[in-house]
Order: sequence, then structure tokens, then C-alpha cells
Amino acid sequence: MISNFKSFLVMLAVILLVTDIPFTGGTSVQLAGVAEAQDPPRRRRRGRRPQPPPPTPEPLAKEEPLDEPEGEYLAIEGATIHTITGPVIRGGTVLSKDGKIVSIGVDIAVPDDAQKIDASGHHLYPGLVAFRSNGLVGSGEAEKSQDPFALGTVTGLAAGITSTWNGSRVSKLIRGQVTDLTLRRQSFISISYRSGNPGKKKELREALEKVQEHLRKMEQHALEKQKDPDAAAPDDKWIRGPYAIARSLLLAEKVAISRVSTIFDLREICQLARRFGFKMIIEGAEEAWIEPGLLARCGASVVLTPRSRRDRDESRGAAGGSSIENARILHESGVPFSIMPASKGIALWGLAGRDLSHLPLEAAFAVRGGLPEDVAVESITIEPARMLGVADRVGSIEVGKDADFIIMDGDLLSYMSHVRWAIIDGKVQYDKMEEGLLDHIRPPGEDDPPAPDDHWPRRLGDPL
Amino acid sequence: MKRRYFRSVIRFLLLILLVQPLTLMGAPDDSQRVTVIRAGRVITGTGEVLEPGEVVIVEGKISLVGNQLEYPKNARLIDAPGQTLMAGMILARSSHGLQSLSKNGTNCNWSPLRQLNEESMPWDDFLEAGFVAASLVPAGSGFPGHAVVVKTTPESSDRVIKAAAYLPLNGRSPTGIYSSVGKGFDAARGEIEKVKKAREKWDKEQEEAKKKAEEEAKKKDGDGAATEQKSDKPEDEKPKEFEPPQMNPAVIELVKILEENDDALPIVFFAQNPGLILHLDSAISSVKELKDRDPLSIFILPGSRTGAFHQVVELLTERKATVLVPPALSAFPDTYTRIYIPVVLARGGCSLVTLPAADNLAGMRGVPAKLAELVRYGLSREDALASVTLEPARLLGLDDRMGTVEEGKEPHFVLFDTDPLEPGARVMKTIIAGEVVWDREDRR
Repeated sequence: MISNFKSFLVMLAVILLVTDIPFTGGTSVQLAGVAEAQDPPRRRRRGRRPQPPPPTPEPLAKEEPLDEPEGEYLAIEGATIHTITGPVIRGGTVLSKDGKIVSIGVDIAVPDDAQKIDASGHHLYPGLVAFRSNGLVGSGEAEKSQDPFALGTVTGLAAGITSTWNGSRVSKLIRGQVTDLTLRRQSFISISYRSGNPGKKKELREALEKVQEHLRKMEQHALEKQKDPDAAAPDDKWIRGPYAIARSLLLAEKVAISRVSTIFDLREICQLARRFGFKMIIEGAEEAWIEPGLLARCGASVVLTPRSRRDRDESRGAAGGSSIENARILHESGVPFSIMPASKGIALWGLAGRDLSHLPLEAAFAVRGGLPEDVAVESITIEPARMLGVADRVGSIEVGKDADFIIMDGDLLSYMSHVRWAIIDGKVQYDKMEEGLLDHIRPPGEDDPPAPDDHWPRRLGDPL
Repeated sequence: MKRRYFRSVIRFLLLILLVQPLTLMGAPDDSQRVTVIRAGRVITGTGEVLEPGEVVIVEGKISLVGNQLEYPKNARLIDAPGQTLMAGMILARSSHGLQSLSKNGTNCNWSPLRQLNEESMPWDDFLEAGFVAASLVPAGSGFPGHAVVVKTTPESSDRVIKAAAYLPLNGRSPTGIYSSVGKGFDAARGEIEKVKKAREKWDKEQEEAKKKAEEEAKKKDGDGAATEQKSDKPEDEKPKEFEPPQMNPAVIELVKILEENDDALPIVFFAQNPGLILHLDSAISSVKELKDRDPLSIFILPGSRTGAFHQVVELLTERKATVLVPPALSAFPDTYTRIYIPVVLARGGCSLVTLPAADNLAGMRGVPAKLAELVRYGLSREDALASVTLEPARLLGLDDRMGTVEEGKEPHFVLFDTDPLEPGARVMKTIIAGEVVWDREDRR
């Protein structure tokens, strides 16, 4: 009994050591059956749920008071500007005012009092958007939970991430303040529809059928009401729990999110989505390359992890397993996707490279599988921004969007490159040379600087 | 003859009446007697160091500080040659020895004296470390109660120096802070509204009663002069005083803060990590009455070396905060340099109050050595000593009574065997109200 318990503990320790579970807590729980990935239950309201406010970009002209034309300008000069939605501009300038981009181009007028960053020889990209994360910007409402001096935020910025979805809100990785962090409230409906749990599959399918029937009745009722104003409306008191979720899917109020891996399950869920006409995001989709048209037909978006591995299911006998070409094949079939590493957190231990601090490297692996580089960059900038409903604010460099940039000392997808500056809302949030995190690695002007006497990693055998 | 005899008796009685007070004064009564402490060195805390020095205590107050002073022959002498005297140290926050009890939520009226058991209280721990007064606080999250300043004398009839010194506010997480601050002040606002409504209702009733009386008077005026006397009657009755409804005692202190009363207690926030200070600011400014006031400026910082408190140094020095901090707090922002938070705060103009590294005897005993360490890292000697004497006195609103060795202040002292900031300095005597209450000699 005791030895059993001991061996269990040892197993647990081994699992914790070997796997790369982020230490920041907030485990991703697959909610059984139909559930909603949203705020903790105590915040839920019964009945009508507050709709996320439509993302309204604040008009530029209105923001500046007429009598005070001065603003806080930031000009980044000399960089190769990767606008993502537009052309690449070499040696161009991006000018932002009060946190919004006001002009992009070569030889544009820059006010004298603007703060200037000479980024010649550097590459400028929009800040990366991590589709989902743990421990980067608090949990729930960032303004009320974020530690403004958290190390996770700095490491996130060092990885180039400037915005992310923490499971309930899309927030920016701003340090030293606890105001104006949230871009928008975002929640998806997490559904489970896979062969491993036929009971839940049936439950969801029946809920959708029943609510669809109800919605048809409602339509009929609306017609009847035109003739007979006293017609009784169909009872809708029973629509709560899974039925309410089914209704918001059918009415396209919310997008479904589901982790599906095998081609068998992908076929099933795509069939369901096409039959009931709801939008969804598939996480995983390792075997989607086998039949890429499937996802394209049902209009799903995908969150890919190019490095995740999956073996072929021998018992099914058909093609299967993961492929490094998955991203390329999906792209060629017109399926929109964003890229995420295997771990949603930033881990300072375990195997390096599988967490969010190596988000661009994950995208680079898709390039290795044949994906065009520009699409790979889109999949960690504008694509996740679109999927999270914040593409009007972040994800590309366009006039009127937020001034969220990363300035890299090389190509974004190169394993050699580091973020030199990360800028959010026109303010420098991360400066590699100021941070003491990566400042000793290839500092500007020195290709191979001497290591400091007292610095980690020490050579083996040196006394501590 | 008879008359003369009578006179002499009266004279005798008068004489007795006159002499009696004199004899009482002359008697060796401790409260009236002059006490003189002669020490090898006196650090006054006002910038002076007397070597040797004498302190004269008359009627429970310091009356003279100097050297080669003249004092009555019959004065009681406490001789401490070779020892260094300074003002008794004040502990700004402690729960040491209190019966453990955690009060969560808003309980501003809770006094830690209710957790204090005289018999089991380890007063000697405080005295051995040189603390003459301690501000006791209850434990718990939210507003667990108020701080009470007590003398650390083992047996005292007037133990309490100040019944309410400040309101501790504790929160471990941002959510906890928002809910404590929000709930606390919402409840206080509710109480204010309650009184306001009751007042309005009472005013209305009074007015209606008055109208009624006037109408009746008019009616009766028509009836004739005979009834006039009767109509005068209600006017003779004095209007009843408005009796406000009882407020919830747990939030009265918060009501005082909202109403900006003169006797409102300051809030002292325990910042477990630096980010919580920003969340507190945000929580306080979300209370509409407090939005436009100065931000809170008294903070307790934790004693660990973790945490990035160097990030908030600027914020704290900008508002000239009072910071209660254990001396061990430091940070390694960039691996190479260590920042001694208490030093940079004091140098930046914050008022520094030193807390023991741990709330127990070992922690308290270690305070002078830790201060010596900070002096080595750039803290001025004066700031170091003030951080356990004058600054805590100021925080607790007792700086007119204690904190320095000055004329007119209360005679609470601590004597060290060498300079207090010398490594290995030991407390030799602790003196409260002119009495030696702890003496290392007795321990041998």
C-alpha cells in the first residue's frame, strides 16, 4: 500500500519533470461535454449573458482634442517594415501618435519632438499575438489580476508577444501599470465531440437538434403573429444549460472551440458543424492534412502546433499520424490557421522551446514543412488576431491600428534572432539591453563578446 | 489667658496644615523624586551625541539632558558607565505573543487587546530586544482591526499608550484587495446613507409636526384669546434632539475616512508584492469619495528577498511614503547588483520604519545588527536609528511623547553595551517611565 503510494509519487514527479507543464498554474481543463470557456462560474449570470461589446476602433480624428494638437510621437526609423497585410518596406519609418499608427513609409515627415528609435538593420513586425496563454497577463480581467512586475510578462515580451488571450479576455502585455490592459472580452464555447465519449457526442447532437426545432417553431410563430397577434409563443423556459449553449451556437452568437486530433473525429465534427451551420475553431488537427478540404468546407479555423507528434492509429488501417506538412497543406486548401507551441505558458524549466517563449520558432517549423514564410508570420500575428476578434487593433502594421511592434535584430523566423525592442501603444515595454535577461547574447556591435566573469552558465568544474 | 491658649492651638493646627504638604513632598515618593541616568554616551536622536551624558527625570518627564549636570543629592541614580543610551525602540507592527486568531473581512473595531493575555504575554522578549512600546495588530485579511500601542512593561496599570493608531489592510491577491476595499467602503457608504435617510425622515416629521401645530394654532386663534395659552404650549417644548441610528461599529473607522474626520486613522497596507501597490491605488481610486484624494502612502513590505520591490522605489519615493520594512528586503534585478530596498527608499526621501526580520524574539534581537548592515550599504546612521525610534513614533502619532531623548518627552530608554550599530551590540538595560524594567545584570 505504502510502496504503491510511493511509486505513485515517484511517477508523478517523473511526469512533472519530463512533461513541460507550465508552472504558472491555470491548467487547461477539458470541460466535459458542452461547457463554456469563460469566466469562473461565480461570475456567471443567469439568463442573458452580457454580449462582448462590438470592437469599435476609436476614430483617430476624434481622439485628438482640437485645441491641443500636440501628442506623444514615436518614430521608428530605418527598419525593414513587415506590415503583414501590405508590402514590406525597406528602410522605412513608422510614426505613431498617442499609441496609434499615423503614418508608414519612406521619407515621411516626423515631428521634431518625436521620440526616435534608430532601427536600421533591424526588422520591424507587428507584436505577436499568442492565441492562448497561461500566466502572461493574469487570469480573467487583467486589470484586476495582473502582477504588473511579473517575470512572465517580461519573458513574453522577450519572445515578441504583445497580446494574448488568457481564456477570458484578450489583453496586452503591458508592464508597470494595471489600467488599459484589456483589448476585448472574448469567450468561446468549448465543445467535445469525439469517438472516445459517445455519450457526450449524443448529448450535444440532441441538444442542437432540439434547439434547432425550437428555433424553427419560433420562426413559424413570428409568421403567425403577423396574422394573429395573440398567438402563444413556444415555451423556451427549458432552454438553459447545454440547450442555451446550443442556441448561442445556432444563432452564431458565439464560436465553438474544440480540441480534435484524429481524422475520424475531424470528419464527425465537421459534419456536425455543416449540418447545424455553426462556426468553430479546431485546436490540434494533427491529421487534418489527410483530407484538408474537410475543414475548408465547414469554414473552420485551426490552431496548429507544427511540432506536435501523433502516431498513426494502426487499428484503423488508413493514413494517419501527424505531418510536418500539415500547415502547408491546410494553407493550400484555404484553411485559416494560427500557430501555437505545445505549452500555453512560459516555462523557465523543463525542455526549452516548447513554450510561448519560442512562439516564432514554432512557426518556423511550419516553414520547414513547406509553408511560405509570410504565411507563417501571419499565423502568429494577424490570423490569431482575427480569430480573437481584435484584428482591428493589432496583428498588422496599418494606419489607425495600435502601435504595437517588435523590432528584431534579424528575421523573425530565424533561430538566431532576438527581440531588440518591444513597443506597445507607442511605448517601449521591453528593451533587450536594459533587461538583464538576454542582454549578454550578441549585444549590438559585438559579434562575440567576452562572457562576464560572474555569469551563468558557468563552465563545468568552476567553483560556484 | 484662655483666649491666648485658643490662639496657639489654632496656630499649631495651621502649622500642621502648612507643613503637611511639605513633608509629603520631601518624602521619598518615587513619582516626585528626581531620577538621574548617567551613561557613558547619550545618543539623543536630535543629532547630538553626549559623551558622557546624563539624563534627569522629574515627575515622569525628561527635564534635562546634558553632562556635568547638577541635581539634588537625594536623587535616585542609575549609573551605566561605558554604556550607550538612546531613546527606547518602538515596534511599529507586531503580533508577537498574541493569541492567534484570524479576523477576515471588515472588522475595524476589533482590538488586538482582546487577544492579549497578560499572564502568557512574553513582555521580556520585547524588553530584551530594547523595545519599550509595541503597536499590536490583529492578523487576517481585509481590515482585520486596528493597531493598539502598548507599553512593554511586564506589570503595568496603564498599558495602553494609544488605543487606535492605524488601520492595517492586508491582501494577498489583487482580487482580495479589490473586494476588501470595495466591500469595506461600500458598507461605510451604506451607513452614511442610513444616517442621512434617518435625518431626512426626522426633519420631515419635525416639519410636519410644526405645520400641524401652526394650523392648530391658527384654528384656535379664531376661537379666541382664551385658548392662546394652550397653543403656546407646543412651542415651549424644546425640539427633540435628532438621534442618529446606530452605525455598524465594524465600519465606523471607514466612515471617518470617507467623511475626512480629523480623527480618522491612516490605512497601513501590507504589500505582499510590489504589484499589489498598483492594484491598491486602483482599488482606492475606484471608491468615488477617495478618487481625488492623495493616494495611500503607508506601506508594509515583506521581509523576503524575493519580489521586485526595486520596481516601485520611484513610486514610493515620489509620494514620500512611510515604509515599514524588515531590513533584509533586497532585490537582484539583474543578477549582478543587489539593491537594498530600505536604503534606496530612505535615501529617496521616504520615511523608513524598520521592522524585525521575524515577529519573534530572534527577529527583534537582530534588529540593531541588521541596521548596522544597512548602514554599511549606504543608510545614514541617523536614519538607521530613527527608523526604530522617531519614525515609528511619528507613524503612531506619538512623536511628541517619545522617539528622542529630549526635554519634555517621556523617559523611555534603551542602553547598549557599545554603540548600537556596532556588530554584536547587546541591550544592557531597558528603561520605561524612568524605571529599569529589564537589566542584563539580573539575568546572570
